[in-house]
Amino acid sequence: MDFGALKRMPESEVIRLGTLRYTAPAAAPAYAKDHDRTLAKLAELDPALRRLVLTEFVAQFARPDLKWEPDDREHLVYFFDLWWGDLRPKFATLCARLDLRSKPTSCRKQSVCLGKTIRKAGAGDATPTSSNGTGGARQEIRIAARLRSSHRGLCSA
Amino acid sequence: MRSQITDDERLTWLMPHLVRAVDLGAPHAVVRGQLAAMPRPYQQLFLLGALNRELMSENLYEFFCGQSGNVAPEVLQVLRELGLDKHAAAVEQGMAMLPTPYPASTKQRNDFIYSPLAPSRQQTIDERLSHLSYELEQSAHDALDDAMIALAKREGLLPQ
Repeated sequence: MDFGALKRMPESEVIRLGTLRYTAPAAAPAYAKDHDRTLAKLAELDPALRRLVLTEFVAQFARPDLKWEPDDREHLVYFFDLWWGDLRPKFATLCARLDLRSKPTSCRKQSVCLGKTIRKAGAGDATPTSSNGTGGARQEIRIAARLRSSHRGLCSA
Repeated sequence: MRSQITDDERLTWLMPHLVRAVDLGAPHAVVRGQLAAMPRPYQQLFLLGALNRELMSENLYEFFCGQSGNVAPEVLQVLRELGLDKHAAAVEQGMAMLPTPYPASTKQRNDFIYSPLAPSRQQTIDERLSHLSYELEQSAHDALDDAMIALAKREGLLPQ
């Protein structure tokens, strides 16, 4: 084992940990009470950093090695079912800025499917909404159903 | 961004690398060799982590029944070196419930604990180790976490 290599954390891990702190309170049900503060903190970030935070956040749900949920197949379902209502507009903007289809061939299928999923989640309301609000429940169910369908495509890609 | 990573996060990143370096399911001679290949502070951190992992998720009974228990004597030595007396006493008492010399394989320990010749042994050991774990949790909560962070900082093991 190269113990020297353990002296410095890789850039990818620094980014993962460094960005996670901005979104983790919004992701975990236990932190639901910090929801508003999380969104406020996100809004205060420099736009470039915010894009990095959001990209890293959604990437965690597509990377089995970083899974937050015990069942890999549920990643994006959980993500958008539980949190899309708050972060959906931000991801829609992000998706427009990032050309997910231009990723390397090795992850192209996943990238395309993820991009479609995000775009579906972003379709419709362009203003921030809350998944805890009263008006969005039926729409949320419909979108969740579409997302499950998309996610099956991601799993088999 | 790098400077914002906490000590706890740095340690959390480091530990799986150490865990992968030692196959606790291997014969004890192999485990000893893998441990010997680590600088001593990393060894200490790995051994504390082996105990801490079991205490956090289960208790001392699971420690001694599982693969982590294969290195119980080594864990005990580190606990003594670092002055973690309450944990050392608990591990020592757990080892005293098992045969001498200490059975360094999971199978040996479980064959003893679950022996059909002593049907009440398993329940007795389980109850005593669970009680020891409870007492540790009450009197030394977070002590291992703190000791691991302190050791890693003192020895410069936390990744930058």
